[in-house]
Amino acid sequence: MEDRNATNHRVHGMSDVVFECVLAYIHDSRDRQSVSLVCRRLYELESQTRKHVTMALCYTATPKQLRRRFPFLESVKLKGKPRAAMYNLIPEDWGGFATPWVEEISKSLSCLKAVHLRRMIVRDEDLELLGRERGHVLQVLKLDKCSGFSTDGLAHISRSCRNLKVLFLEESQVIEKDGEWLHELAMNNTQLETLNFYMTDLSLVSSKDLELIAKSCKSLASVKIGDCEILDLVGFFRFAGSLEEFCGGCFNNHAEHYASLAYPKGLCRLGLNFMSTNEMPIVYPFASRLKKLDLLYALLDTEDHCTLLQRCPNLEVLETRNVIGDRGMEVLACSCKKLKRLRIERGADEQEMEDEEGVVSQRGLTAIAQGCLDLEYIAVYVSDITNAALESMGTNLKKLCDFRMVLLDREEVITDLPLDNGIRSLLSGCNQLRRFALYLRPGGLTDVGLTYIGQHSENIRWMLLGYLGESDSGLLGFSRGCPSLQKLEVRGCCFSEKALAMAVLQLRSLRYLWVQGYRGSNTGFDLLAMARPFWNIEIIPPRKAVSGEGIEIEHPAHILAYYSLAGPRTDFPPSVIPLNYIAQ
Amino acid sequence: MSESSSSAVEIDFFRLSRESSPKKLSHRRGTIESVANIQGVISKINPELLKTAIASANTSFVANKPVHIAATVAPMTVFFNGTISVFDVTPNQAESIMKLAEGANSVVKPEIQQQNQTIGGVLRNDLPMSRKRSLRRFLEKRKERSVFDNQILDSFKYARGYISIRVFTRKHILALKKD
Repeated sequence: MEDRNATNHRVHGMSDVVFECVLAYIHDSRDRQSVSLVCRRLYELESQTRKHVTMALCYTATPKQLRRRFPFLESVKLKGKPRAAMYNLIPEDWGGFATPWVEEISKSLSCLKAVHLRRMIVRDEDLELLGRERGHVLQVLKLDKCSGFSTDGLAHISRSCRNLKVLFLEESQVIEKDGEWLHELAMNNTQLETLNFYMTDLSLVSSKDLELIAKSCKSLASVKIGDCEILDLVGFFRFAGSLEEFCGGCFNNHAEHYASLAYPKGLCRLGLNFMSTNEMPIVYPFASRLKKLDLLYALLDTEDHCTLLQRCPNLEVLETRNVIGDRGMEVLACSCKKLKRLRIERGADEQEMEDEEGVVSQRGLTAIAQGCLDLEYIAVYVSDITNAALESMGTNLKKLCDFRMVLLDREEVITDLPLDNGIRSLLSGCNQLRRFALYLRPGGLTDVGLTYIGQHSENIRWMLLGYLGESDSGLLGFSRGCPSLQKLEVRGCCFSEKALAMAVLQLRSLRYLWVQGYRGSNTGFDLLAMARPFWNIEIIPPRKAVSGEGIEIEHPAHILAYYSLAGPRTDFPPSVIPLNYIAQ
Repeated sequence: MSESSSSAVEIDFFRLSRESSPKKLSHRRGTIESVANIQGVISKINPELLKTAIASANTSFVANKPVHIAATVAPMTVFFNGTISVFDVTPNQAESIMKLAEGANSVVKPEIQQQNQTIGGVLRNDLPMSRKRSLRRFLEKRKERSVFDNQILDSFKYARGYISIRVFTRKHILALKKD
């Protein structure tokens, strides 16, 4: 299929063939980028042998540009809406339309086997087209936090993609009409390895279809479903011999009924929704095998966490709410020495809905820092914090790549603010950090602290700054550092348009900026100081919307700016304004 | 883009121009200061602004304040540039109009601005912490189940025999243990 010239080209004295062979072993996109810059021939070779591309924002290039550069792509990942969309901050119609991409894929990217769309708007027609044109080769389809399609579109996929190994729909907003799509999948597919419709609210699915899939697909390893009664899954569990991961389900009956349920022998990644104290003992027989535990949607209190986690010495990944409490964190630190990833989400605000012990503070963080030395990822909502806890993390967690901390706003007084010194210690100690998010409150970090962040973030590529700094000089100090920063998100800070523009110009690796909450200028045009070729600037003006909780809230304006080879967008909805348009 | 002189500032208090013409980048500068002499202040406002502000006062306030306490409407007389206009407004509306007028001529103090709402800028305290959609959905579902179960608990309070219900708040587990 590759277009090879008859004449044997030589690059630096070596035949093309040598480089082609070597390139096949180079997968990292940054390495491949370096290769492509050496000379024209290597650029061409690299383009022809590139198998996977991730576009961090789908508007940075056109589908045609992608296809022309990498004609033989086998796998593509496209991201649309800003990350803030996961928190309901972005208008639903913002953009990230899959249609132009699906059209290009269907027309010309004939080697494509894997499509991953994240936070994009996908229509049933797109799925139909994809199924019709690529159904015979498509192995992986991931509609990750997408919206705009219905179960009809999914049915097209199920009917046409008989070789599908991965169908991933997690957190997508799907319009549910029936359960046909799962039935079609059960009827047509024997290759499925991953089935995921977790957190989609798809409820018209039949457990019989799940059972059939388990019977037909011998390699079925990971299944994450919606709220299906666990007792209806007895058959499914019996036949799913290769199952390693299961999440979802719910418990509507008395705990006794679940005691005799048999689970697949290889099950080591688990998340049982709405599981409460009474049902917890179900997990005990294989708790010691567990590598991943998802308790985000369980109904356990602090004591339950302590009881359960004690039995999981091989745990590598834990996701739960802050109901785990400091005490649970201490048990985790003692019992789960292999822990690599820890995510502690924010529980309910109302006191009666969560355990009163359910707060995480410096006490829990310090325990984790000292006990889980293999930790690579931590994301945590804390109610209180100290510099010492952060220092402890910097001293002990040498493998940390991803640090995210949000200080909840419930407590009026925090033990030890500002966190300047603690953050500096954390950043200089954890020198492998690639991703960093810090969300505090006014007074949480001074301008000096913000400058520290800039000075000690050699390798950090993505950052979220929430309520940090005191003035523009903090931001300017910050932007003199951060040599690797590619993507910056800023929320609730007090920086002026002018400072933001200057910071953008100083951050030499920056290619994407998102800001919500800033000090606007008199003219509103100070932002244009960062205008430059290939740099798109967009504004989402302030608007009123009904929040998820049903209250009408005011959304302040957003700034979104990014490098693009495609020029300004051509598909703006009314809620988004390009800044160059305003300038006319 | 229109830029105004110091005596008549173009202020899109109710953000009307945002929808109609995005070109107009106007902003509101307000400070919380005591209301001064109403006539002296109003005389300095841009007439266009005043007209639109008062005209939309009725509709905007209903939209802005869902918890709207019905207040008595009273006439507000405005002397401006040789003309006299009378509007029926509620005390809330009147106060807002006065604040608007006050803001039109005040000195901007960047450090202690408390309601700095430009086209983009909203001061930090106004940004609520938002929750991830999936978690929010779960917490909603849990609340619904809790309400439902509480209703059942209440009705079965004195029933004997086997009860198959979901209880998952500590309060209720403890209550059952006591029985």
